[in-house]
Amino acid sequence: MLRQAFGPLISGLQVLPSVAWVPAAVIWFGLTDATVYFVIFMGAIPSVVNGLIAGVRQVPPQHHRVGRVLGANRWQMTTRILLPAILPSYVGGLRQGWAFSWRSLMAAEIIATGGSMGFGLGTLLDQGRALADMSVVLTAVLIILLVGVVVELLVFAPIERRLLTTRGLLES
Amino acid sequence: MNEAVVFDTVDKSFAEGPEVLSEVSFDIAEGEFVCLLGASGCGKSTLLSMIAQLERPTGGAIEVTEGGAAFMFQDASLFPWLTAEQNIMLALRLAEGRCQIRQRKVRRQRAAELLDLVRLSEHAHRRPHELSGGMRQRVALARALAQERPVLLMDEPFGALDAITRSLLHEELLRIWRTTGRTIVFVTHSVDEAVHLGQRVLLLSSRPGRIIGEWEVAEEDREGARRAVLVDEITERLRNEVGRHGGDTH
Ligand SMILES: Nc1ncnc2c1ncn2[C@@H]1O[C@H](COP(=O)(O)OP(=O)(O)OP(=O)(O)O)[C@@H](O)[C@H]1O
Ligand SMILES: [Mg+2]
Repeated sequence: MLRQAFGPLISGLQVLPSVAWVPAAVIWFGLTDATVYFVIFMGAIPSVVNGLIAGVRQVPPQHHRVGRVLGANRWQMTTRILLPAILPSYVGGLRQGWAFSWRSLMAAEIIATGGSMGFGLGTLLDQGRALADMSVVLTAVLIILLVGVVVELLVFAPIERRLLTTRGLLES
Repeated sequence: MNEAVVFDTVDKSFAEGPEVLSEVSFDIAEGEFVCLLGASGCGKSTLLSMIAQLERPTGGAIEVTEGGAAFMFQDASLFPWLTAEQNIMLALRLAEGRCQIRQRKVRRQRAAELLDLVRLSEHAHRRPHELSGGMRQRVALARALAQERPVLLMDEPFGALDAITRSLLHEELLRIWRTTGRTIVFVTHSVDEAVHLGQRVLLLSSRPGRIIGEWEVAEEDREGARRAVLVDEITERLRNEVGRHGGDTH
């Protein structure tokens, strides 16, 4: 039911590049950090919610049956059975959300600069372009790539691997 | 004596499917040990699910004593993200109101006792996928006992065990049954096991499932010649019943 109501909306949002929110965000928040946070948030939220919904749908019905036999009330069913059961899909969603956010953050920094906004890698990239300095541009691109890969490898990959191994879903 | 479970002309079918159980009636007294036999697919698990109120009957009425039933599922059904010990601790925690164990320390102690009972103390910290099938069944038994419910439903619980462990657990189960006065409904494919454990054996037919045989097992029927006669008689009936559908196995 949840999926029927929000599914198309969420999928639509996921397809929409969150950079598209930049103009709206600038109008609402001006050239402040709030704009950046908003764009990141809009980039990540569809993936995260999608991960959650997919997770809930994949919970084996037998888990509910066991929960009922054990005498779990609604709250316990949610916190002790449902949430642990969907944790891997949730982390998968976070991981995807991070990738989307990181991309849109860079784009946002290039499009919107000035005001009280902080100086970031995207800004560096934009300055490199303005100065026609290829070495700055390439360095920025490399760093952006590096940050993306490092976060992926050091944060998400180990968490995901651990979740899957403890559940016996991955060869350890 | 009070009844723990009463089935009054219960019918059960799933969605469009054919009738699985038809006009099933029986009473199980408080503290009774009943074994249920029947061919594969005849509706034994379905019957237990209805006692546990996980499935509703499509006809007739079911009464279960207050406090309900603990269920040891055919496939163990442990939570894969919890260790053996944690699976049992969760059952204790969710049964808090019933067994009055409020402190974590006491729960841990009780879990250790139960693991010891099923001879798995050394494997307390393993997760289900790191245990063998028989070990998982034993954890499931410990978890079912942790629930402290008056009725215990066991769905082919000892199928995956070696003969020695099985007979150890038989004696342990009989001891628990005698000391706690629980009502036990035990599904099995083994006539020997049914006669060894049960005070009464019920035989279920297939498509639709009806009770087509019922035997009282007295103490003196559990040994020697009388036991052999009884086992033969039940086996014969079971064989006829399985044979009746032998041609259409899938
Ligand atoms: N949820 C369900 N939906 C539809 N049909 C079902 C469902 N559960 C069970 N059945 C059907 O009901 C019949 C009885 O199933 P059940 O699992 O109770 O058999 P069983 O006696 O426990 O068999 P076994 O000894 O192999 O475990 C089967 O024909 C099965 O296909
Ligand atoms: Mg079954």
